[in-house]
Amino acid sequence: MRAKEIRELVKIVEESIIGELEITYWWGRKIRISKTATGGSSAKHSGIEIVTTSTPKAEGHISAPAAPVVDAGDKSGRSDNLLEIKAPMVGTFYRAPSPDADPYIREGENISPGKVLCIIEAMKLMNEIEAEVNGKIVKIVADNGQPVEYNQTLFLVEATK
Amino acid sequence: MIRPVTLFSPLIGRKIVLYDTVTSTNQVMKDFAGKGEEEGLVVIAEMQTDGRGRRDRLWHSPRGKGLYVSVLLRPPLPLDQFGKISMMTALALVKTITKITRLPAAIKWPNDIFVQNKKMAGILIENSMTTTSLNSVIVGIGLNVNLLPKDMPEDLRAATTSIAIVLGRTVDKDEVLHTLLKEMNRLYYKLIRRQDAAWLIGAWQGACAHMNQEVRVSQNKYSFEGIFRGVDGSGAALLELPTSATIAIQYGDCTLRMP
Repeated sequence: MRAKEIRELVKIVEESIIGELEITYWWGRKIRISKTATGGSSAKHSGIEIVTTSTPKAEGHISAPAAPVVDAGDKSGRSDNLLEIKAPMVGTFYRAPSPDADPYIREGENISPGKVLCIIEAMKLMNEIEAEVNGKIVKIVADNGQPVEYNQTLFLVEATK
Repeated sequence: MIRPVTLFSPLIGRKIVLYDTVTSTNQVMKDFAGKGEEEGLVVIAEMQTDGRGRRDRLWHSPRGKGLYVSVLLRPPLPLDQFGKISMMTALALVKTITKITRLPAAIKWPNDIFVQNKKMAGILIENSMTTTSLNSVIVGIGLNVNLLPKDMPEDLRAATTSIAIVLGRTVDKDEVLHTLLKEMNRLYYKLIRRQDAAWLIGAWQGACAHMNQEVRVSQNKYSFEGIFRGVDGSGAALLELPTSATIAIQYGDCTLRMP
């Protein structure tokens, strides 16, 4: 497979919420492109991992980190009671109930159980995600109108008793 | 509220609340759901002042002409499996329309209902959940029953139809509702009882308007072109790309066009 084709496939995976794309040719060659969360303790980055094989064993392994999509780092001020609210499903992340409406929540605002934080839309299902804890939104990690993956961090919350 | 009605119905519709005018039946149902109403509650209105599709698109809801219905469900499904409710509702609408009109109705992914290539019904499902558990599923249905072209905004006439338009006469709205609730009950029970999704996938694909046809699915800024090969158990579209790879498309600002 030519580099140009691989680049096109990477672009498709990158711009979608597909977690992994695997293509197997009849002569046994296989290409797998998967989005992975890489990075150390200080920062998380969304990356693209490409594995091409012509046998069942991995032959080439190119790791091409993309621009950081998620930066949940918060290196200095990370306290013990900082919670991550994660996406329970894949879909499009919306901060407001409709395009013209005010966002459900802003950074710095307090939340309590039952407070709607966002909508994740998948297949015309509008999923309102509610808070489970008392606390304060420290950071809104996901971008409005952008796809989110299962278990991707959406909000950082400083929990209170 | 006009009056609450109790029917002998197994689950969906065992309690029905009728309204004259509401903003939207889903909005009213959200209040009921928040107060802990039981699964199966149905809210119906003669007219919606603010009937909505997804992301604030208006659902035209003139008085007495359409069926404006919301159903409250609390299905014992994993949080990423609610696409099944969407599939089931689309199927119930297809069955209902076919029974009433004797004409084939078809589903356009994910859940618009078309008769004679024009849209007759739409579904908007609004779920309320935490990241770990479900509170409620609200299934909103708008079905054009007795709307005539004069009842529709001009810009929608070419692409919209109703039961009355295809039959050439008006029908009893209550009969349509009764058929719809019966179909929803039947399919919902099956959905909850059966572990496998093969029957649901098969039925959905059998009613799909564009199986094995070339389609374009738009997602935000990107669009995929390929052959529509059906859906998986979660309702995601299976699209065969020109590279022969098949991808599952689960989310997005999905429009589906014949190229």
